[in-house]
Amino acid sequence: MKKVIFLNGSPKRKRAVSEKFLKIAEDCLEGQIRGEKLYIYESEFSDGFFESIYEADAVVMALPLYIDCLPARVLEFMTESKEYLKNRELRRPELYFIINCGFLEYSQNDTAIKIIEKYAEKTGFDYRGGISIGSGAMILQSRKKEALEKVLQEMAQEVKAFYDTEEMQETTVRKINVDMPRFLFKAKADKLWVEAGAKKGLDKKALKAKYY
Amino acid sequence: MDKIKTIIISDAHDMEGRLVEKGLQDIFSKAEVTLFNCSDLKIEYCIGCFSCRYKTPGKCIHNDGMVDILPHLVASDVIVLLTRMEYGCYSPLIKRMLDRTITFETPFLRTVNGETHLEPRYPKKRKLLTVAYDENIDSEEAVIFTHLTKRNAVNFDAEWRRPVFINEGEDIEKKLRRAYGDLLK
Ligand SMILES: Cc1cc2nc3c(=O)[nH]c(=O)nc-3n(C[C@H](O)[C@H](O)[C@H](O)COP(=O)(O)O)c2cc1C
Repeated sequence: MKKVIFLNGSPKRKRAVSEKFLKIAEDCLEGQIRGEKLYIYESEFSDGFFESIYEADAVVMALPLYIDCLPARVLEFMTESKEYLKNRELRRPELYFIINCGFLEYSQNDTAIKIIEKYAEKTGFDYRGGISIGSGAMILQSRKKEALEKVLQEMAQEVKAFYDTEEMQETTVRKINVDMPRFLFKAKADKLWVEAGAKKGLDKKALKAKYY
Repeated sequence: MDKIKTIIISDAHDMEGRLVEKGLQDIFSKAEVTLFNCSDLKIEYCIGCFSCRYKTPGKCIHNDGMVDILPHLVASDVIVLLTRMEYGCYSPLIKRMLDRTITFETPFLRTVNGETHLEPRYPKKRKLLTVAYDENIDSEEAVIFTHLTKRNAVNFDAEWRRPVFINEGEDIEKKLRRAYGDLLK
């Protein structure tokens, strides 16, 4: 059985949508791999933490897009894991990602995906691609929910099966977002914030106010 | 460039970084410069709570080094980010600060370059210059960083300037001088 680390890279940890996406992938591998869950925003980066990663056959990292790239602590994880792994014999664990952004278009993740790929190259991971999700907060409540579950399951099958095949595998990045014109997405998202503000006694003007 | 408000935010803490930081200060000597070095400041992580969007608009729950930086960022005409290059991205130190600039935007969406983005909370004609250094920046990293900074200029509501890449041992002054000339355009 393969040892797979599910790595949550969101500061929201268990409350993150990243956690939900990971859970879908984890659930369909139940009993078929040896899984372990780690939280980048919870852990002190101990030797034990990096040793788990080093010993894994595959790492599935789920994370949100922050300011068009990776959240700060995920970058710290990358820097420190690179330091740790460079002193170890090369094992090339596979690296898969599940990245999600708040805005509509999955294309907003493209630069961050390149950064993950570069990290994998420099650190000695076997970069295996992953899933790029737009409208991450909305998608599980949308008609695209099933399509998303399907791509997560497809990726999970790859995570499980890679060593069972002899040939070199293609690297796949599956891309998905809600199926909605931009104006409608904007209207929906804006309305959510107006409602959230109203609960705190703040109108739209107050939400836009300058603080400095 | 006289009395143009410039904020330099730097991660320099080793010899190489400090040399570039010094070079930047020299080049901008005629401007009104405020320098923040993130390695001297305590900056917490953004925890993604969105309090700054719907509870206390524009204000973060953390009371730390960002409180000093943000007013200068808001008032700035030119934003200069000095960072070590890591995988085509900013250093973790600079990224901690950047994650916290989410307060720079309102919760509401607008369309830029055919994509959804947030409206700026402090609209102003700014310019964004980024300077990345490392022992040896490869060309793929430079391409990734170029794309990334273009996108970040949208977040800062700033005009983008081509990043400066400085490998160890290169002529810092010459490279920065050219970028400075570019800023004046
Ligand atoms: C500091 C910060 C920066 C963000 N930057 C972006 C961004 O650049 N583009 C985007 O589409 N969403 C951005 N978001 C939104 C998150 O990607 C979105 O809320 C995501 O669904 C969070 O996933 P999680 O619950 O797994 O953390 C940002 C959110 C925060 C808190």
